[in-house]
Order: sequence, then structure tokens, then C-alpha cells
Amino acid sequence: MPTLVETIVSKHKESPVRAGDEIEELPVDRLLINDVAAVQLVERYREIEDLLPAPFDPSSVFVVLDHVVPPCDSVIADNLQRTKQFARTLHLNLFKEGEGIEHVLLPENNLVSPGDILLGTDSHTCTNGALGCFAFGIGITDALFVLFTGTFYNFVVPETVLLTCSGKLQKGVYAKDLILYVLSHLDQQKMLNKVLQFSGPVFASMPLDGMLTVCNMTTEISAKTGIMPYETREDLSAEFAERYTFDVTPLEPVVAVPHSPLNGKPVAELTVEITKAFLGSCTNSRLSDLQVAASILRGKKVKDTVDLYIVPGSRKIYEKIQESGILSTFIQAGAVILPPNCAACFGRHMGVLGPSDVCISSANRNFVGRMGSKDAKVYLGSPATVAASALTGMITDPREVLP
Amino acid sequence: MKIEGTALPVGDDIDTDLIIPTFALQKSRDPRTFADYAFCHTIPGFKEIPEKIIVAGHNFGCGSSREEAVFALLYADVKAVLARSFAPIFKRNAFNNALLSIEMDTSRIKKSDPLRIDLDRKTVCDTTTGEDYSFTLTAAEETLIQHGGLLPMLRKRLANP
Repeated sequence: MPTLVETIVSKHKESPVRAGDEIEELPVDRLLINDVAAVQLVERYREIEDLLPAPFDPSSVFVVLDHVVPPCDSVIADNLQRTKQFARTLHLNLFKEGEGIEHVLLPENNLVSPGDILLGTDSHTCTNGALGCFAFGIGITDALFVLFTGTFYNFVVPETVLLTCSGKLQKGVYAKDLILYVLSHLDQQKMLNKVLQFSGPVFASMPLDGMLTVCNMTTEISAKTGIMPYETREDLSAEFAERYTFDVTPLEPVVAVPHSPLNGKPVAELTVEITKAFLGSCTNSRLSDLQVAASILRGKKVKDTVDLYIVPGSRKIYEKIQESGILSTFIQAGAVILPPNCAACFGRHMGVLGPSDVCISSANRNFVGRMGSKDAKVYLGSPATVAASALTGMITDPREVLP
Repeated sequence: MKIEGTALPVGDDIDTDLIIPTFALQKSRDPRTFADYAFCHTIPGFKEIPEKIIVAGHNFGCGSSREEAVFALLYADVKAVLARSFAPIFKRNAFNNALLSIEMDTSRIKKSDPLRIDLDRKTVCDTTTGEDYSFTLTAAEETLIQHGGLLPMLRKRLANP
């Protein structure tokens, strides 16, 4: 029996495929392009523009301005104008500055569906696998090929690893803790270029926001992508490269220590003073993430030695926290509210770290220099851990402060 | 075709933020400028090291999908990358730009060893130790190297639909 990805690819190729099969041109349903990748993509487009190529399906191509918006210098401002012009000339869907983060926007607006193939010029395109689609990141040359042919050149069907999670997450332990834990327990070399298929009762009862968080971080172990059987059926008798089972009931809050997202450690083992707390990114900036943080921050003040940045993942989420009073909770707690964008997770603007900064972040990467200075230290945790730590000034187990 | 260069070991899990940090991605639209910032956090003067062949451990190019990492290496005179394994997006981007990326056991190659890559015989010779390593490329990878990357192939395909 086929895996989820084999089923999706077979349908697109209109004949049964197995892991290892090579497909000269794989039909693709949707393409995602962000503002950073767009700069060089548009430059390369100039080299084929004379052939007057037409996009395969402009309505299925999404150009999202999210990485460095609003622009922080005039070069970037110019790049954004060129990208807007490119999108408008080719009649592509354009998400303007402030609409939100690409991997928040697509699921939020039902722009991807189970069984789709979605490619994007961003490694975290894998996030969308939570919706049961086959989604993975590509570079700009592959993206140009997809844009003008509707296909991905020379695709090899990847093998799948089945990760079954059983049990129940305890209070104060979230999808982020789960994925940080799982990543710290897998052998990177065995996960290379594999699809990680998440299965089991934990995900059946997990809200979509959490599933998106889990799939978001699969690229950190250099997997091909993550996928879940969202509104689709999976066949557990399929041929999997490996199978692992995790019982999440005893799980405690986890933090990935510098400088790898795979360095997950129980929060209880750490004694770390922080200067910055970052709540945002395509991993954790959705409504439920902000609700959890608000429940911890309500009526309290961020520690005077800490700056807390909160970046809602989209305009819609921003609107919802405004309507529900969460925004006031954040402002009264002393947080800095930033407009929907990737912000300091991308290390280019809005909260970039200096050499002596130590940051607890709800994002996905803590590589050397990722959020700014090469000497800064970034710890990755759940939104609850970020909020709890912002109150105490130390990396803190959220169970100590959760109401 | 033969490629010669000098071994520059870099270790395991080299992420694309290390190869080209975000602050350098939009300094200019000219991709040659990326070379000025290649490995700027960890290997000062990287661009000036002549005719280098990167010798990496596991998982080279992990992290971000930024193709600028490949541009940075190409314009910084990197002749090829040898690694025990490559992160999948980086490897695609490398061959899409005809940057030869060879998967092989790199554990015995030392810093500054002169290396000779024979693309026809599919071997890498470490001329210090005299050791010969054989490697394989997929048919598509060979095609991409021969055509100078995916863009010329796309051009051809668009011109002759």
C-alpha cells in the first residue's frame, strides 16, 4: 500500500509510483514566492523574459511580502516595488505588506487543500503538510521552472518515515514541545530527505495550529517535508523506511539550546537569564499561540530587564486579538507589538539581536547569527515558555505561571 | 572534465545562514556581492582563499532554502563541494547552478590537501595521500552540469515547447 506522499504523487502522475521512482516533470498545483527569494528570482526572470513565458496558472501562484516588511532600507524598498511589479505584470496573487506570514496565510485562507502539491521558495513550506498536502521548499531556479511549466524538474519520490505519537500532552506542554522533543530524539542522518508522516491519536485531537507547528519544523532535520493525514486516510501497512513511536504523556516543556533546533532539552534542566523574548514566526504566531501567551501575561508585567516582541502571524489574527482584548493584555504587560511579518526570526529587522543578547524565541531556528549577531544566543520554545520567561527574566517552565 | 583545487574542511551541519547570513541577502541585487559575505562569521577572508574545494561532513547546506548560498560559493571561487551528505534543498540549488556537489566519505581529507576531480571517471584524487575516491551522479545531475544549470534548460524548453 502507498504512503500519503506516494498516493498524492501517483494521482498527479496519473499512474502508481513508489519511493525511488524518478519523474521527469512532476505536475504542481500551487507555487509560493516570498519577498526575499523574489529579488533574485526576478533578476533571473530577466534572462528568459524575452521568450515571453506565461505562468502555468496565475491564480495558483502566491507572492507574499512577509520577510522584511515594512522595508528597513531603500534597497529593500526598491526590491519590494520590483516584486510587486513582477506579480502584477504576470497577474499573480499578491499579498501586500502586513497581510501576514506566508505559511500562516495559506492555511488561514484555504489556499491549499489535502492532496495538493505545493512548492515554495522557503524551507518552511513544509508547514502546509499539516493539511495533508505534499509541500516542500525549493530554490528560485526550481521556482522559475515551476512558474512557467507547472512542473518540478526531475523529481525523485522520497521515502517516508512513520512517526506515531500516542498518549496525551499535559497542561503546559504543547505541539512545539512535542516537535522539539521528537527532533532531539531522531537520528538526523536517517531523516535526510525523508518525508516525516505524523500519525496517532495525539494529532487526531490536536487543533490545526499545533499540527502546523509540528510540520513547520521538519525541515530542521533536513527531512524532505512533514505530512499528516488531514481529512484523508492513511494506510499504516504502507512501506515505511522507518517507524518510531513516541509516548507524549510524560513530556515536559522543551527548549532547543544554541545553536541547533535539534538540541532539545527539558526546560527544567536550564538556568538561563534572558534579555529578549520573541513571540512570532511561521512556527508559532497563530491565534491559539497568542491566546496561551495572553493567559500567562494577563494582569502581569514583563520583567524590566527583558524586551518582549509579539508579532501576530496575519492581519486576521491581529484583528482577532484586538477584538478579544488580547492586544490590550499584551500592551498592558509591556510587550512591543509588531505588524504581521517574519520580523527578527529572519534576523534582518524588528528586534535583531546584539552580541550580548540572549533570546527565548517561539521561532524555528537558532543557528549562529540567525537573529542578528553571531555572538547572540537563541533558545527555542513554545509560546507559553516565551511568555513565562518574559515575566521572570529567566527561561521558565510555563507550568509555574499558568493560571 | 577535470577540476583541481585545495581542500577546505568545514565540518558537519553547515547551515545556509553560515554560508550567507540574512543581513547580506539584500545588500544589492548583484549576486556577485554574496561572495563578499560567504562564511563571514566563521572563515574570515573566505573569498580570497584561491581555488578551494569545500570538504564537509554530514548535512551540508541545512536550513534555509536561499539559493544565494550557492551564488555566494560560486562567486567566491569554490570549485566544488564534497560532503558526506547534503541537505536536500541545497543540493538541488547547487546542481541547478552547475555547482558540483559530490557525496562521498570525506573523513580522511585534510586541510590544504590538493584535490583532483575527474568528472569523466567520477573520481576524486587526494594527491597528498594518493587516495582515490569514486562517486556517482544521477543522470539529471550530469545533465545539469553539462548544460550549466537549470536556467539554460528552462530557456531551451520555453523556446521549443
